[in-house]
Amino acid sequence: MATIVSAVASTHNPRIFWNRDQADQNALQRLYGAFDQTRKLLAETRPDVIIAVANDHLDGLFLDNMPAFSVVTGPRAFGPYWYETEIMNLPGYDGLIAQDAAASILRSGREEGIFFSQLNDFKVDHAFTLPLSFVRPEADIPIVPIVTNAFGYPLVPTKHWFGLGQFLAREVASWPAHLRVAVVASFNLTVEVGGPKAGKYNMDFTRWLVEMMSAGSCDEMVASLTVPRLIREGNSTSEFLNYISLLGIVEDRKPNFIEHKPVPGVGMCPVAFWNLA
Amino acid sequence: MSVYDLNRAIHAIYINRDNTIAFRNGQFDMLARFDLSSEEHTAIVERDFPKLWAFHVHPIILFHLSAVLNPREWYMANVAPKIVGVPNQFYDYYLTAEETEPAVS
Repeated sequence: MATIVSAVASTHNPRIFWNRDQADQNALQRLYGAFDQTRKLLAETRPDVIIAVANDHLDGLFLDNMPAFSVVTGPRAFGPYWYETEIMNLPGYDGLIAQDAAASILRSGREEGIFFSQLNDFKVDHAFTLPLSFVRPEADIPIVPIVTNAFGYPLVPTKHWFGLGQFLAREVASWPAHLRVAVVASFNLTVEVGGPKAGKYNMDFTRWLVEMMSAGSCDEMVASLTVPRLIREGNSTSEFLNYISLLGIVEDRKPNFIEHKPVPGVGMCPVAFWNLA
Repeated sequence: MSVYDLNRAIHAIYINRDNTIAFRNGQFDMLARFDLSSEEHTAIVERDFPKLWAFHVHPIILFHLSAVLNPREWYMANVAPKIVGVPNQFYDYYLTAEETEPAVS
């Protein structure tokens, strides 16, 4: 049967590239080192498929149709959008989709109550391309993009994000092929985009969040981090829900590796890795 | 005119490179495709971000429009301070919500 051999939780903070000239260069180099270590750790687990869970930023999906969770079943995953490459200097990503795995996730999910939407011709934005460019720049491992909704309110409650991860763990275990699967969840800590608190952070909450992550405090995070609670700390803190989905897989295991120090001039850039092999 | 059409118009400006360049060059023909009030049309053309916020443009969409027109820091300095306490239906959606969401069962 197939096995989830590793999990990665990675920031998709675009300022890593957009504001790189204003960044504290020592801190930025430390972050690049953390991504490099994550890339090596992921490679050591030899995944055949990567399931990537990340939210769209109202780029490919819009307010007229905002499914909670979608599976991209088309042949390729490519992105990001023009303004993310030309203006924000973000790297591109273009890789194959593991279409059999995607189709299986779509069907099993709908049959088990994860009512996935299906996307075929879909460009992924920086929430996918930034982490994948760091942890697998070769783009040579087929992926299954699972697109989540973190911005089109109302959002599904936290327990359903956790349930998404639990479903993925069951689903992979049901595959007859001896596939080695990695899961990459793309998220951010406290952050506000476009609102009046933009650029301001509740560091007490952020530190608490990092402590919970480092300790593997799954139950406490899932129980206490409701959607309104997260959004009160910044309208884009809802992106942490992608991390909650990963908790449905790693549960209370502490990450084998975690880097969470802020990069002055760029902001929070957490990355964590679990070896589950 | 509708909040939806206003958001859709702004999305159309930044998601398409040619539309962004036309907008930067003062060509606003694309806006005719959307059902906008004269006040909404003027706010877009004049790049009046605080007014667009008050007209209920989604914060992510508003910021993306700014991102294709201005440096990130411009928004922090010129928009964020002017929208403190100004109602926006998307931003406010959860800020008054009670903690009614059940914990995981």
